[in-house]
Amino acid sequence: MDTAIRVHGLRRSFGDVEAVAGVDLEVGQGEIFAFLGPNGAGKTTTIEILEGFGGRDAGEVEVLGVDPAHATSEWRQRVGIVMQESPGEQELTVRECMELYAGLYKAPRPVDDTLDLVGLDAEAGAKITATLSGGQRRRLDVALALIGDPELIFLDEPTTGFDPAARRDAWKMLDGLRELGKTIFLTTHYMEEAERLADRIAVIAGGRIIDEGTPATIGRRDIAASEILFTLPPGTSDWELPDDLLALMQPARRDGRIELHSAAPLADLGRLGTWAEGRGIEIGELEVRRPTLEDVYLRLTAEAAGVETEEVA
Amino acid sequence: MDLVLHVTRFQLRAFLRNKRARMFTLVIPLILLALLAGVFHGGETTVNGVKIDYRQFFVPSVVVFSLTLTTLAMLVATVVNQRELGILKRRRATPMPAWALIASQSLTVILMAIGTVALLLIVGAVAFDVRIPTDGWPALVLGVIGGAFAFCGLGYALSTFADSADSAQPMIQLITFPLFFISGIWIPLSELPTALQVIAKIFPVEHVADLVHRAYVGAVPTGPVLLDVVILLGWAVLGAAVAAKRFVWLPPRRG
Repeated sequence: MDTAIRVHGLRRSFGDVEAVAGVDLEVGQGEIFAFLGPNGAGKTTTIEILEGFGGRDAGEVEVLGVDPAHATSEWRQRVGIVMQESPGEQELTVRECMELYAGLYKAPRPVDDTLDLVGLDAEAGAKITATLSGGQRRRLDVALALIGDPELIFLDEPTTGFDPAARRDAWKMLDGLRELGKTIFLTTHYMEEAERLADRIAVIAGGRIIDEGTPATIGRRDIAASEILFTLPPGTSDWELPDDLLALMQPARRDGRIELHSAAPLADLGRLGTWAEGRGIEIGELEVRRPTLEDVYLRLTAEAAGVETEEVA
Repeated sequence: MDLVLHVTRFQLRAFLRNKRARMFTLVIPLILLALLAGVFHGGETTVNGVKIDYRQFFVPSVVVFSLTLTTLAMLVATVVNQRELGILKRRRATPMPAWALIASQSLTVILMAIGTVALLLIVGAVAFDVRIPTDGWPALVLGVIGGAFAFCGLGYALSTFADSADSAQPMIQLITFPLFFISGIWIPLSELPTALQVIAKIFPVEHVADLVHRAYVGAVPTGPVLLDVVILLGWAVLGAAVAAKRFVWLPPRRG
């Protein structure tokens, strides 16, 4: 697989604060890459450097074979950028906006085609930008980033502020981009979105990449313990559980339920069942689940925050 | 250059659809012209010892006033607004080179300014019978072009000192209104204390005023044409230098 983005040892400080403290990244051509991290983790600084908008103190960066610090007009032909929130040129219609930007590229995509792709129909095309709904405006943002027919697209929080239905539509649209073979560098705060769209995920915290992998494997999610959740009937105390299950019990309840972390969920469930049957009680609200991407993400970022505090102390 | 014209075309269209922009560039100057020329009809004022008709004084004054507002104020408002909304960043993210972006923004306000000035000249001539003598045209052209350069340069410099459209507005008023008063457009320069006259001569508005008044009334001028041109170009260069050092494309960071 050819490489679209290659970053090695990237550093950037603002005053005393090291926003990016040695980041390594690699994104393959045609890949959808999700870049996750809490606010202030160095996400925006990194993206701005990749987009050719920010300087750096150290490190090597190559985007489509070019150092974005020396972004040429030629390079900009090949890169599309969807920023966080941008209301656009308020007085122009959607179609005029598209024509304005189409005129800045050597070989733009057809305007109608592109509007179709993002799901803005003819009716919306005639509307003044200022009157669009939030979801429509975001589609316009994406359409404007696509109009130059880029190979690589930066999508910064594309669905923030969307209602669930609009988010599903947006995902379909991004699937369409995947089929076009575009490389997509995505940031989002919605783990469901990253899981649904991304081929690969990197998590940044405190200016460092703390983990990297596919949505299924990140944070050792594939081999992490399953969670068994249940309640006991009134009159039965937690402590009456067999010892080998008690050893797996988490100290805090989760949504009012007992939580066991199990590396062998089938065997442990069997034990639980035999025990309950022997006592003639029913286990309530039983659920067995693998850790979600959100669980893994929260654990990773919490661990990173913990490490940092220790370092300071 | 094609790029510049392409973007300028769309920007002009957006401008003309914007109520506030129309108000600023067309309505206010016209109202001002009607008020001043209408109220002070028949009177005379003395400029540098020369008696001239009030209307002959005020029509060019309104031209200078609106030229300044359309170029300087509109440019600052536009640039700051576009930066705040991320439009500058989006444009910069396209293959369009930075110079073309700057040129198209400047060209947009300059074309707007030329349109307004033309409108004022026509209204001045038709409604108030104040015309430019044939030999006054070079001075007018020089004034409009010199002013446009100086105010665009200055506009880009000033745009780096405001990070939102809301804070740009009062800043521009704070700068332009005192300048209007000391620059011989509402009150003839010769009526002001010498100290103020000297201060006025440092800033660009007075020199645009001098050139435009010169176009209408050959005798009014308060200094050599060369001085006007040098000072205006000086401000253009100074503004461009400050902007080159301070200008940013990205919107201010939120948190």
